[in-house]
Amino acid sequence: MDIVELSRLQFAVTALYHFLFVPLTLGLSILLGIMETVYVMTGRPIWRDMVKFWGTLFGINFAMGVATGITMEFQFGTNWAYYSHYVGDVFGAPLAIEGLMAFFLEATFVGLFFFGWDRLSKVGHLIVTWLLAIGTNFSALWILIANGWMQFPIGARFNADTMRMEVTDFMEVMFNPVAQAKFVHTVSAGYVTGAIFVLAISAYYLLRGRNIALAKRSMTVAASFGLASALSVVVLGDESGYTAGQNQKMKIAAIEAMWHTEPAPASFTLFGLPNMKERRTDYEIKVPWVLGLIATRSIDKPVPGIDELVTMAKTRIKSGMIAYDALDKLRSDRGNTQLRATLDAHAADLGYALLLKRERADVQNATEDEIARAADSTIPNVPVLYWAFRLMVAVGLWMIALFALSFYLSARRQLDRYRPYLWIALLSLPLPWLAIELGWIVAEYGRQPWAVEGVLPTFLAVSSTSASNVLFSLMGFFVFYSALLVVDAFLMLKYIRLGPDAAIGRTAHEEAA
Amino acid sequence: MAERRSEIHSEIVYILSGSKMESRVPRLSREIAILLCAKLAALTLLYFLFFSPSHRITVDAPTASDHILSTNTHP
Repeated sequence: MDIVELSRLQFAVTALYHFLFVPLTLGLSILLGIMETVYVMTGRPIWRDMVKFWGTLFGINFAMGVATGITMEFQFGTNWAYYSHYVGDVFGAPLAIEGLMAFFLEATFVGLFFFGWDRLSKVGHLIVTWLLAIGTNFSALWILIANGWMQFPIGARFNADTMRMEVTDFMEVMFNPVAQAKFVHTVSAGYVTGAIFVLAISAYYLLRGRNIALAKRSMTVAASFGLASALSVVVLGDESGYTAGQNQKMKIAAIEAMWHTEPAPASFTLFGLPNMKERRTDYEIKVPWVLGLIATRSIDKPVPGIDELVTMAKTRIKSGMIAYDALDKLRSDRGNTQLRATLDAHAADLGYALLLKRERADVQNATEDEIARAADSTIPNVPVLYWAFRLMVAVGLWMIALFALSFYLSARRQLDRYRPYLWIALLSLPLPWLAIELGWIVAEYGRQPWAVEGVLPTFLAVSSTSASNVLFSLMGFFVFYSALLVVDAFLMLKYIRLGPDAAIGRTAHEEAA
Repeated sequence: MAERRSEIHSEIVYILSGSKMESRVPRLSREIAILLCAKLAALTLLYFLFFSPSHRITVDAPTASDHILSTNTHP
């Protein structure tokens, strides 16, 4: 593996690991807010016990997860130095705001949440719980604004003097439609994770016949909150698909394994076996119109296929070669306004010319064959995206069915009546994590070969360091994070087995459910 | 009335059982504290081994220019 692959692997491992903790924090924090609101409104001690018990598990997850993402920020400095220079002016701002706004909010209120029960009034503590939830969600917002910019880089332009992208309109960066769609989709997925966590562990208690009242109330909250969240994930995922259909057409074409442009409205491939080598999908089962409606929200606009997008990439590479040539000449002739005008006219395609750096050094002299190969490199790994997306959607639909059933049983007060249902709820525990990790694979693997879509190829973003350095640090991460995961699983299982009584420090209230 | 009685009963159970279970609370706090210390130590170790300033690559405009407009191809 070369330095590019190792750096990508290290970042992917860290991000996927960090995101085992984040969605549970997002979901549980809101659920704690809901449970405590019921406690303050009704005054029933069982709801306080619920907040304390689920709060304990939230605390373990928070303690384990916090700071595991910070190593990604370290990696920007060590493995992605050119990325940091090239887009740091844009990318750094949301990360800094996240630290100042969300981390401070979380860090302050997480302490008050755990140690403020006897020191704050009921309403005061409730406000703390909600502020903790808001802080957690703010954190996701700023990270996804940064990530959204990598998918759809707006509000910035290239500066030839500083050799970097610089912010021209921060509001445009902040209200980037891709970032906003990703944010709501991601936090909804986090809410589903929190709801499944509560549902599954409550099902475990009901199966064991213990803490019945607490478990049934918890399941009721999880069922209604989870159903609303799971439906939101689908609706907001559709919004995310629509924004990608507008700005990341290659990603959509790859997810659909759509090699050729179809007449509008495009059909959705329900099943098929994508063949990268032959550029076709075998044994396709298609559903008419669906892709056209998802990607364009119309019945008369075509969705471009991979081959057509490759042809478009060739045109952009040729335009980018003009920008590259002007930029190269500007090095020795800084004051030449003609060259600057040429660069500005073709700056939007400069990134496409940089794809040629893998083919030859003097990209302005690239041959047609080299241009064709660079254009082909814009195709991400189609089978991975195709299957990851379908598996994610299948899990999402399963979640909706499970929460709908849970909601129905809860409304009929029959949550503890059917043991097979309780087993299904318990065994569904890992599914939202699976869907979320697959979602990130679709989003980030689908962005390849770009570090920043259309602006900076990934292979140009890595540092000029040795592969052995990255390999050693990757091994260090692997050992440390694996150990942390074992400890997390041990602590979680231990306190789940001990149950609410241990978490609360006395026998939990058991009202008639 | 019955509900009020049940609430009072719950509170009595709460008070009476408090001393029995309380010893478990410090155990969780202690375990989380030990965990956070171990994690901090491991993160610090990772930082010094792989991320301290000596491991960072300094990139400025001329370096970036050389990197992007260099006469070398990239892997």
